[in-house]
Amino acid sequence: MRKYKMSYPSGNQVPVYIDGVRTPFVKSFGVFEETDGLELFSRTVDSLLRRTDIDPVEIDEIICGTVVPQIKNGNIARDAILNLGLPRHIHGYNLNRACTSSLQSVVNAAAGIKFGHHHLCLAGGVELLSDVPITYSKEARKFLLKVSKAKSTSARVQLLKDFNAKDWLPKPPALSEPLTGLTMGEHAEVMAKKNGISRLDQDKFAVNSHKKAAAAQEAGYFDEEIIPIWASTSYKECIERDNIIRKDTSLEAASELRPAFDKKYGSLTAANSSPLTDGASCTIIADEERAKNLGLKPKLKILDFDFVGVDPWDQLLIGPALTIPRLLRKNNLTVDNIDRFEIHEAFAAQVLSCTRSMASNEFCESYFGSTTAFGEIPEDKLNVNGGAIAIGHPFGATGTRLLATIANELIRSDKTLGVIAICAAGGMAGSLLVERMA
Amino acid sequence: MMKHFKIEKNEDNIAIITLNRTNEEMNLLSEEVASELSDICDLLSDDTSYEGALFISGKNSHFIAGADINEIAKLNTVEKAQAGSMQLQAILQKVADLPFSTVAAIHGACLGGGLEFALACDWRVATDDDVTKLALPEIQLGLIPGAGGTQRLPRLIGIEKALDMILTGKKIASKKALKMGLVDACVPKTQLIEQAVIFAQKKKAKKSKLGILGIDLSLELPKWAIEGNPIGRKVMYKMAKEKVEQNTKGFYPAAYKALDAVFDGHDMSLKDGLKLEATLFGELVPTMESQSLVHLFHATTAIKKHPYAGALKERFSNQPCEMVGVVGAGFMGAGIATVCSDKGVRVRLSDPNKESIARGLKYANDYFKKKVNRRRLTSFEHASKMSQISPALTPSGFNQCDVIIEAVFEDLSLKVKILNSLEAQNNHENWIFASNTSAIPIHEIAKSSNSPERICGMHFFSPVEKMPLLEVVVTDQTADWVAGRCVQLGQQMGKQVIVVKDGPGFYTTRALAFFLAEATNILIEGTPIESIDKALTEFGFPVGPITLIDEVGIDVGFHVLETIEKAFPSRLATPKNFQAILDSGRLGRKNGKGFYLYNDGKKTKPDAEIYEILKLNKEEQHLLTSEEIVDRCLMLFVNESARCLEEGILNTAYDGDVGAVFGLGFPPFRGGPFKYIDFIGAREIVDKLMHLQETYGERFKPAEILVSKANSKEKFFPEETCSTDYQ
Repeated sequence: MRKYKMSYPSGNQVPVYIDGVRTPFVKSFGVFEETDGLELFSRTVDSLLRRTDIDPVEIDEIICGTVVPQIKNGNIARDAILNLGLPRHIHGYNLNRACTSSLQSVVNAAAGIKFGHHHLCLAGGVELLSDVPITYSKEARKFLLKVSKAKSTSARVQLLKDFNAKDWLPKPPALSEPLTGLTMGEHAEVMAKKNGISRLDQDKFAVNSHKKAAAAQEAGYFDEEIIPIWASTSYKECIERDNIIRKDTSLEAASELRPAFDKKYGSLTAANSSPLTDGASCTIIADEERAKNLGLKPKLKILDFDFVGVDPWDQLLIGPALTIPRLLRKNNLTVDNIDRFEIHEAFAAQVLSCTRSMASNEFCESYFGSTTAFGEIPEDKLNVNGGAIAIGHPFGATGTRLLATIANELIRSDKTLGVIAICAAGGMAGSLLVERMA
Repeated sequence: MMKHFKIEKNEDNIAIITLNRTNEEMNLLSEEVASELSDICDLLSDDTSYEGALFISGKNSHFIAGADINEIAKLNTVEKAQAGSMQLQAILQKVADLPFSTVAAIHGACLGGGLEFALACDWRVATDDDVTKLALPEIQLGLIPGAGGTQRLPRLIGIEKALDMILTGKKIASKKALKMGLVDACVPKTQLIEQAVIFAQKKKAKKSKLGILGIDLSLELPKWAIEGNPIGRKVMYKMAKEKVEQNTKGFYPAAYKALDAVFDGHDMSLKDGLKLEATLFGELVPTMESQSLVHLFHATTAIKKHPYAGALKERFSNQPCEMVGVVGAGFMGAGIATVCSDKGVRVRLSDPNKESIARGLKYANDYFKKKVNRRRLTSFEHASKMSQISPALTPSGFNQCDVIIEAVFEDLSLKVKILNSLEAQNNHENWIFASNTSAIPIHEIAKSSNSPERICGMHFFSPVEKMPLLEVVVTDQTADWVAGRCVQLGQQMGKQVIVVKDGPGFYTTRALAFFLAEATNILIEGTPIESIDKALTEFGFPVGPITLIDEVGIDVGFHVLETIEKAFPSRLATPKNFQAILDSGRLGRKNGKGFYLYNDGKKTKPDAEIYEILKLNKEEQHLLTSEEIVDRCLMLFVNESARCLEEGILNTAYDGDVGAVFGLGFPPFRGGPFKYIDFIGAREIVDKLMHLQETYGERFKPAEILVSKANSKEKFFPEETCSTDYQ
């Protein structure tokens, strides 16, 4: 048995990002239909360890973000360690902060390093929307629990009088807000109308996202972050490319689609929204000094992060327009200082609402009380390799996907500072500020 | 004063008797232990203050691991063996006759004589620990249980289940043992004594054939319907005999004797049954079959203590291998990866070919799926074992691997290329590169390494998950710790590992090449394919040499023969027109065209076209008898094995026998080539060789070592019993 560490070796308590990988992001109900979240996440963890070739005994903690609970594994993070036969001292947990989940994984790892608590963490996330739990109604659940508690046959028979066949229809999960009752798409629809984002602008944004992603894919920009997957249960093919990106999409094709959420007056369609996606991603977040001692070369320094909550009944997904200004102002930075932005593309309408709001005096006054707008993010700095509309959005895995993408992009384009911002269900958003090291 | 046993009386007047053999690692039911047990029985039955007794082991890993195999081997005549059996039976009968309840409190292995001892007790209480296993493995030594096992076991659990245990020697886990009635309770280890005492306080168990109370009639009734009446038993006997015939092909007399002991004994009183058992046991002990299997037991025990253990311990302080790198996901690579993962060694697999990895993973998945279906694995373990094979298209991430095994095609330049590229990126202090090859000289690979001391060969046999042998090949430069690490890995993979010196064909391929080449020579001279194969399967090989060439592939077989012929041109000759067979597009089983015809992958009959291709002249056919065929093939096999020992390719004769039996299908009941020489006598072997040399030429020239053994009348295994009247 390996001996436990009684005290941690000293580090400099500066959190850095070493490297990150992800599975290809694929359409749900497709090539990953037969596998499970544990397998996908395990493969990303394994590939990272293999790529960096570090002794796994150096790993302290593992954090995984997952939004829709997986059927078999409540704690995929810890289960992945056991599944892979890695040293059992590596503890870990799953977390759920909606679409900012794996961003939160990174933040937790980084914060722990700042504290000197641990030195080497695996932070990532996974979402397998091909396989989600399907539940019974509250009534049906109540009935089943009562039956199992009933002590006598007559008590069980008694229960039958409350039996109602209608209660037994299983409830497929809906991507809706429990409090507002609206789905994500419906909320984005509200935002589109409120901010006057036209159908054409949304479609243009979406087509652009596909074009940029297709170009990046073709140029091999994603190759460094994608690991090939041979998935159970057949293992028959090697999946090594994202399969949602459409190189040949056009404005005409996008314009032909019917609105998906508000059939009469709506502008959001399947083309300008992110699709249901399966995938996993994982990163190594480490203490800078410890990483150096282990011979690891960090790609990024993690400088700061920020989270906000917004009024869900108003604009559920507007959070990035608040968290980005807060994060930059706190660090005495402006839009001009930042070289690359990755704003998560849940919906084209939502990204456009955020960027326009940040450029709007009115918005900034009502939220921050400042009379001048925060600023406009130049197009050539924003989502330069496409976004979730084209690449896909496995909820729990998106945060660390963006981190891997921005790291490689900053290095490739020889730039310095990057910002990631992600909106999340519940009316929240998170952001992260990073600096290139490699 | 007791030497091995300790008796304590607890507050309930139960005797707690602990067996802890002094100065010995293992608790065996040796003569000394048995006679002390006899004394204890006398003591306990004379002392009326005892109200029960429980027997427990003072060792951590086992209860009693069986009788002492060396003592059995000394019983080298039928009479001595019978007497030995009856003596132990009598002592165990004393245990059974004690005036109060007796309990065997079992933790760990309870094997052979140990289980027979437990069966003589009234009750058996076992721990639910994984190490607790019960078995009667005598059959694996060519014997039957000789201390009441064949009589008491069927009386306890029924004929069918008892036969299964006695005929296979399989180990029964305690939970299953409880289900089948072999033990009476399955308890946590910490409560073993406490729970066993409760049984010791019960009344003596009544051994009723068909219980009424407290017995599950749904289980008992069908058993009674078949086993409980003579007609049912007759049908069962017939079926069992057919199965034995099928499994042993008549080569293992112990299986038949086991049937006789169980079925005939069942109709007798216990006393007569025991007598029958002793008679049959006595007949088996001095047989060639039993002596050979006992020899293999010694051989496999001996090779576990390999000469590199010291260097291994010094460098790795007994830390097992945790992860291996496997380069190449073909049939061999996939097999190696599968077995490693199965045994808890993580694998980093790499192959530039995506389809190859897909096939490799599917191969592993199918293997684990089968285990899940047989309930050997849980579905989580299945998923986990698959996840522990890490696939990649580039040979990266090998720095954490304890050993890197290259398993690509048999192509020296490719192997060297892989070595060089890995060497450039790997530099940890314990880095090891092992080449999986059946014939490529390891020193040729090591030549291009910066650190040739880290290079060795690991010759696995196909299919890896089924074949029990691993040949580790060391060059003059290979470091001891490197060899030791590879042996350790092989043992972790559950293989019998022999270490041989680098040389053309190492040991196994070389011996096999001479054997196969001679078979082809016989074929060319005109003896039909099926006669050659039949002669050698009747001798005990699982398949004949010509079938074997089809199995390994005619192209592969040829390549090997050529390689070995180049190394030993004066001694090995393959027929010149054999190339024509390859030219006719025959590759063997893999393309459904070989020396035999295949229908849907199934071998049907010899392909008559072969004789035409070889331009055999029917007039000049030189037909050999079975005996001549066996003599020629086998004498070359044995002679070449002897040369390997002489040249130091083989470290010991044990290695040779293990290699031939577990890697090449040499009949286990003949013990291996060296034991075979001991049986026949070196003199006789040399005479045969010289006779063949006169007729067929230099290739039959006896090895020096054989001549000297013949002259000095020495045996290869002088310390083992060996009845020379079996030939």
